[in-house]
Amino acid sequence: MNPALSPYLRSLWNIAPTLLDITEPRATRPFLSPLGVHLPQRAPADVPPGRWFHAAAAHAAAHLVFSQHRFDPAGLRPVTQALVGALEDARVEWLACRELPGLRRLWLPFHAVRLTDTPSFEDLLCRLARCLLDPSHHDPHPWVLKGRQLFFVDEAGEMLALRQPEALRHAASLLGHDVGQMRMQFNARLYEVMPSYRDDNSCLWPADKHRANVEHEIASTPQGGAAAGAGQSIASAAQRHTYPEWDRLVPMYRPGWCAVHDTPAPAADASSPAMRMPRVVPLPPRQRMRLMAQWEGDEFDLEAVVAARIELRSGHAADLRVYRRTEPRHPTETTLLLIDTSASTAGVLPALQSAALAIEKTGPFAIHSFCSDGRHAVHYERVKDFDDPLDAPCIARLMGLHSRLSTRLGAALRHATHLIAARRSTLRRVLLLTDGKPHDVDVFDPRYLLADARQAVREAARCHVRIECLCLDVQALRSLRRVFGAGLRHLRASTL
Amino acid sequence: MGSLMDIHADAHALASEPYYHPAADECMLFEAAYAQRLPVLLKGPTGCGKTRFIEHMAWRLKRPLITVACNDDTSAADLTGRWLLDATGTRWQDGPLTLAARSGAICYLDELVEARADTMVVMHPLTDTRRMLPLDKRNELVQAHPDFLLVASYNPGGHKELKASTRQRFCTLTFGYPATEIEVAIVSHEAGLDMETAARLVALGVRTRRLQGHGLDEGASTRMLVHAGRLIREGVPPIAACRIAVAAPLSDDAEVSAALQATVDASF
Repeated sequence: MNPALSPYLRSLWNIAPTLLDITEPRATRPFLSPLGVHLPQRAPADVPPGRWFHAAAAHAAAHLVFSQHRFDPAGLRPVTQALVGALEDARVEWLACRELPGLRRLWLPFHAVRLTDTPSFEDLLCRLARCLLDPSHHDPHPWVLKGRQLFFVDEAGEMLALRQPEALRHAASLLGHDVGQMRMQFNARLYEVMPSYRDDNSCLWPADKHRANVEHEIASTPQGGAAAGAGQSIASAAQRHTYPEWDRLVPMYRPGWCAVHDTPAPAADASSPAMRMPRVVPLPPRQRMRLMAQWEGDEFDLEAVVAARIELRSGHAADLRVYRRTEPRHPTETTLLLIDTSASTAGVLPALQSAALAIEKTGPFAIHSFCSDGRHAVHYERVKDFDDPLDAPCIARLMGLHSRLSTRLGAALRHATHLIAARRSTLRRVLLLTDGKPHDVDVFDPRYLLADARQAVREAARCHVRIECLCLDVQALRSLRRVFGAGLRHLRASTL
Repeated sequence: MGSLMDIHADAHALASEPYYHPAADECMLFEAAYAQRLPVLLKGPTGCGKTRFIEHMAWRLKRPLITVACNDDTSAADLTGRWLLDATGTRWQDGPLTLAARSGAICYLDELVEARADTMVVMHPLTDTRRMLPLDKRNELVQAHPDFLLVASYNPGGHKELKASTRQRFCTLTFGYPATEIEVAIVSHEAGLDMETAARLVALGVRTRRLQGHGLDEGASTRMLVHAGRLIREGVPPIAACRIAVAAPLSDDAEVSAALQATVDASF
């Protein structure tokens, strides 16, 4: 699924239908259901895939916006039903093009027309569709001409005649009657709507039963929620922050969906045998630097002024750098190391802990950790805050971390972003140390938390916070690449 | 800042009427605030007409307008003034705020929130009943001219916020994107385009604003649409004009950019 399609439809029509992949890999046609727009996994072989998906999504959206009527199939022969579909397709596209004329350029290249001496009904239908989308196109066939005259009021094709469903149904009957007169064959079972970007038009008719299984299949996608409340009492003393979560299927934020409980990490025994004490790094205090003898500044540098005056009075050229000003000492980098302490890290936690100490950090840094137990209980522990020294009790707290529960990554990243965004710094980054993919007890869709984390990374970028990830598991790199992009690196446990 | 030339307030008088299309009663409200000499804060997204509004009001009230574009290097001395050295000795140079306060101009601090914290403190005495500006470096207390007014602008979408102690000194006029018909008229007038093309540009602008909160922090501003319109007037095909003036500047995110580009393609 092309992720740009969703913002595309939102900006075109202010609609946000759920875009779904059709699970059947050989399917080539889109269709609409009450759940949303179902698109094939791949575009047909002979077309540019990017344009095809845009064309398919824009056509489906035109139905969602303009096809309000459900036609009654009773008394309509299959030929007429196919014609109702073709005319309705043309009508919604014509209405869409009136607002967005560029859509005609998008759709037209897919209308390849075969001109033969003995055209089949399907050939004629394609030629009619071509004529109705592009009124300047001329087709000599009398049946196509008739269809065109029924569809438009005027010769130039600027006024639509078929404004009401009854008029459209009547025009389809007239054209269908002519097809019967021409003794043309039509096999409704093998018929596919042309061109390929158009959906199968099942949405124009009252819902039939064979779509019901699709609904069932999609409805099992979890949205979390049932397992809420389990871990709430544990964290009652903690600071509670709520964050929205991104639901990739809707696709929208679920406001206030996750609760993060922020606590200082519990103190640990500093004489623990697991502890390795690195060199204690004192953090430099934030300083401003006074720059003397500058070309520009807020105040005079008195010594320089006196020297310059003496030079000028003596008739010499003077050095006019006579100002002083204060500036921050260095561009500062602030780092927040976020350690994943979910149950799956049990074997690798020592590696993550020593990585947290070994990673090169310039400027202030913090070490925090997280794990989760459903959306209401994301536990966030602060081992070391930005202004704390990295001393023995702090390292003891770090080594005292233990693996438990699950990984609700998005909420933890949002909280870390919230904390680091408050820091004044030239470069702010959150560095996630993890063993692999996110997972939580109330989420069953493997892509849900990844999509949410990806959204959290984007939100962070908007507040000028860079999120990077060091991952221990080679297997997880492929899916995490979509979340962190270039910020993802593989961490070999053996190098620590 | 800190130009060696002497600045005169008269140089800031507006020569001709700046075009402004009122969206509601903001002109009347501003005139009332000016009559009472109450400082005004103009709040709204980028490119929605805040600066043009103040230019228009300065022209209507026949006051010179001194504009300072604030950035994170703007310090108190940049606004109030500083000592300079010339051939004869040291010389005090008024900053734009002092100049406006002495001469009775409107001082417009654009994007006030970007300025350094010390600038907020300097202007506080000017914004209450004292109406004075202490120049400690010169040991002078400037009493503001009766016609002086302080106006600031502020874009609340950014990542910085104004402190309550500053924000509560101002009357605040909130600006948004104009209603569609008004925006069409503005784009048509500013870019010199026919209404039909202007309406297409504004429709595109409205479409991009739907992505606000869904990948974009702010949609296309009226200013952006005017820029696109001026490129079209210059003979650039509309799709190319909107690509460089609207779609590309709005986002660096690959997906959002692709969606915006496809929307531009669909719009013309």
